[in-house]
Amino acid sequence: MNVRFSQKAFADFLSLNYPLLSDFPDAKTIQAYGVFNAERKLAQRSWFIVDKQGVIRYKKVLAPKEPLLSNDVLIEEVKKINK
Amino acid sequence: MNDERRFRFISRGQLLLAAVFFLAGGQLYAQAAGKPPDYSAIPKLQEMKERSPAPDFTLPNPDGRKVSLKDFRGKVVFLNFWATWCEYCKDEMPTMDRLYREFKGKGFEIVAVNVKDKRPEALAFVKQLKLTYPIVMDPEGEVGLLYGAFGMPTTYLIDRKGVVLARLWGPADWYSPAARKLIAALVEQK
Repeated sequence: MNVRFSQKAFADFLSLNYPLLSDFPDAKTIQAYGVFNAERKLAQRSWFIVDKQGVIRYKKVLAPKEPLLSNDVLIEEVKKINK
Repeated sequence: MNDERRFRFISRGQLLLAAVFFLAGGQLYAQAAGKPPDYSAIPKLQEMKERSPAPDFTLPNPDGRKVSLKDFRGKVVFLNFWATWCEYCKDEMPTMDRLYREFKGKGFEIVAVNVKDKRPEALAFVKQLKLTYPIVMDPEGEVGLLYGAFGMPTTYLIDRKGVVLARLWGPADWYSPAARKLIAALVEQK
């Protein structure tokens, strides 16, 4: 599948203002971050916050059926890092 | 009025109507001649300025024959995604058919991708609406996903070289003067 075309359509449909990147088909970055679901060959839903020095300061990987993380949680984490 | 005279009267009336339609159509083509296509004339139609190549796909038609998008290279392609549950599709598709009948044979093709319906239901729908343009079946919805058909209908306009020109999420009256003028302008481009 032409993932870039599909992703662009997805971003346009949701009017997203931030870029979407494709790690298809190698999934190298997904594996490097330790969130590769080998069975389904896709990434587990996860969030990483990287500080200005390039250090990962926050990581959350959702377990199956776990509710989505709220934006408020992420904003609080960013505020903590920026203090 | 005897039968012969009535027949003659009807024939003249039909001739007059045909002449009016011919002149109106001629005027439409004359208006489109040499002008850039006006995508904004169709509400919510988005011009795709990236000019990406339309990803190719191969799907079966209702007879099981495989049809690829690239088969239509050299023609302006109206790529439409639809489903039988979609009420907007029911309104839109007869206007697409009128458009198709006007422009087929002039470098224009419609490819209507049915997304995730069962074949008999899709065929009954096509028969009910008396559609004459080509249908292909996407039972797993893979091509629909590829083209971001998150809602139905979704339509792409693709040029003769296979480049995406515009996209519309939602329905349109595809036999409106604006739509016919747009398609006339696109088929004129070589």
